[in-house]
Amino acid sequence: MSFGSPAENYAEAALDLNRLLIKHPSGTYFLRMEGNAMEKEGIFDGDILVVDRALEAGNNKIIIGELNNSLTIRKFLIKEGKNYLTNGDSQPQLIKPTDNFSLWGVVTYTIRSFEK
Amino acid sequence: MRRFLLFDCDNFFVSCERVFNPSLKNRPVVVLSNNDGCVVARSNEAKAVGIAMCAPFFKIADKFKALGGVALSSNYELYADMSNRVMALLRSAFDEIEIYSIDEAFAHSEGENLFEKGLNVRNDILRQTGISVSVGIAPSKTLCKLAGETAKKLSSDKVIEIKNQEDALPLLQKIDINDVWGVGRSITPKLNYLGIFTAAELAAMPRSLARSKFGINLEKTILELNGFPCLEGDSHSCQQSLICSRSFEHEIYQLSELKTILSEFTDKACQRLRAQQASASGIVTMVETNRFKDARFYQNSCLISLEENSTNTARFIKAMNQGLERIFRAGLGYKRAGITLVGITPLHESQNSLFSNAKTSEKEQKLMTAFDEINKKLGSKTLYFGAQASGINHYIRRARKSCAYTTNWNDLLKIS
Repeated sequence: MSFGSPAENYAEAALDLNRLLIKHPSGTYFLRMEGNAMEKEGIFDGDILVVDRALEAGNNKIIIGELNNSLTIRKFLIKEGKNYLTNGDSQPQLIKPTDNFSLWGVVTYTIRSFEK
Repeated sequence: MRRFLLFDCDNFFVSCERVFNPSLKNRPVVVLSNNDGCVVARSNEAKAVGIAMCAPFFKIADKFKALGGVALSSNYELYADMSNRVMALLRSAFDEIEIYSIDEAFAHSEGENLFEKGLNVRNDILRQTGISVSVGIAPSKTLCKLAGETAKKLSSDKVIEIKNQEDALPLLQKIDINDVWGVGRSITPKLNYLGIFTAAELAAMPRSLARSKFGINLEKTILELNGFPCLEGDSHSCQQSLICSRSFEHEIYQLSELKTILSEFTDKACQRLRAQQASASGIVTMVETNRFKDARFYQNSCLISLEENSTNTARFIKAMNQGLERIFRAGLGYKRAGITLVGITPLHESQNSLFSNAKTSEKEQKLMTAFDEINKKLGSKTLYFGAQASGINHYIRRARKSCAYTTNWNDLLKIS
């Protein structure tokens, strides 16, 4: 006869980083930051970016944008009906109607190793 | 009423590449087979400049480059992961889906407003994976295929629903019988002789004539074209054969080397066999010399049937070795070789022979399951069969391969 473990009734699933960091598993991708363009936003060279393609772009969100067939990471700004990309450093770049722009994904988290 | 929805990814391999490299958009792109041998996928732009499917790459390379085209090696790690994402989204949208191939799946639904649902799911897949999917909705799978093919030609919102035969008719009139699912090329001339050229004409063919002249399968196709589903689940969705073949960078002369490589292929095919809960009854071994170089072109294949259906890699490797020994000719340089598993039957349907030993076969299945589990957990190639070389990838040339963006931490897309 067994009485089981006294802790059994308190069992909870162990914390799972996947569940914390990934809301949409089929739409989440990992990218790697290269260079210092986003240091003002706290994103550093070599950081792993968690990017969710299921989310919409919004003011002040960090996004991966597809601008004229190349991908870039920037902060997205909406001001007076116009859309801009900025890295917090230089003058925000206006997305012109002639630009071929689309949202690739929204950066939701970054992962940085301190043991490099 | 029950309906089928076919979700078919547009130019799937090329679409996967473009998600991570948008500079490939709006220009001709092809993906090459293993060893960069021939074209296995084309963008619309590559189709438009006349690149044929399966074209040997060395023949088109210069012309294609001059046209601004980009050729890539197959990146199966990426395609498999992107396929899993698409299928997972389909699974969350529908109760029942049947995965038909890496880029195609049928969903079943009893629901209403299927056009809207199909469009929503298409948009969701496009947003989350960047892959454009064509959707065909119809009362039967054969009509689904035709609706899907027609949807592919639309420029946006690629969804076509056939609700009833009135919807179907104008579509069927435009489709050649060659393009109807399940109509083989061998019977096309005979049908043409009877005055049947379009899918609409085939749909109107008397069923009794179809059955007596061409057999039950054509009769089923006719029923399907008329909106009566008769291709049910497993029998049609289970792949009829599993192929694993490849052309090599350098000709192979040694029997032992071919044995090692083909054991590897056999293992891969058996893993896929077990993954789809099926068994096979035999294995075809195929070898081929270089058809572009050697005047004495030699090609041969040999089927070895097993006594009973099996899932056991060891049995298939043994049969493959027997077959290979029969067709191997010493002194020739083999440029291509492969194996095909045939007689594939879902496990729950497989008939065992009169002399079968149910216990042995059950035991073997358990062994193979354990084998697959260990390789899955500890990494493939933890366990392998004696004849295989560990980590054999060195002989595959994939010089133009993009990164394994979604399956390797060292290969993540760099962004600035």
